[in-house]
Amino acid sequence: MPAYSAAIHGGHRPGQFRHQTPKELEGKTIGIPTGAAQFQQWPAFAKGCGIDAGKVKIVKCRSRRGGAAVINGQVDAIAGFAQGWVPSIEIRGNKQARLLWYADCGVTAVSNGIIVHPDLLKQDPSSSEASWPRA
Amino acid sequence: MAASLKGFLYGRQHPDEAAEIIKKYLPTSDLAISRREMELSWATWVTPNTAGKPLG
Repeated sequence: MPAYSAAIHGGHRPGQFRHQTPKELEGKTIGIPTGAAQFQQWPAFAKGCGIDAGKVKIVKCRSRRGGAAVINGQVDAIAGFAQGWVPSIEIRGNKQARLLWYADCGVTAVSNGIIVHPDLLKQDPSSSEASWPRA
Repeated sequence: MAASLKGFLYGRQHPDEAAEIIKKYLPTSDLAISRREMELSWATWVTPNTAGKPLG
């Protein structure tokens, strides 16, 4: 199951993104919180997308300040969970966000899931996956 | 867990009500931002690897 990580660009107006592909991140500055999974996964993302990682400047970014860094133009992009940063960039920053999904470049890290103990399955068959609702 | 899944599905069917509930318990939240966060979550609930399989 792919994790929902993404490199996120901020554009000034709809349809005015200079960077349309991951490869175009070369020569740019990307903010990533060093403690975030996206920081650890960056090399895999770069390799999967064919990005020359040596041509991308990675800067430390406080986890709560990533959206503001894009809005203010301090960085060209950030890497993080799309759900966490995109809304504030779009709504408070009045910019459109361009998402480059980590999963599209082969970073299919495990996301959230439910693990059920075999004893519970015997005790309560309704806990098996067959009984869970579909999206 | 069944209750959580029921809530997730109800929230997707009633996004404005879900945003209002979030604001009720987190008054500093922004309705538009809460709704956009949910939209982005729904878009990634199902992936090519999980299509057709149960939630969770």
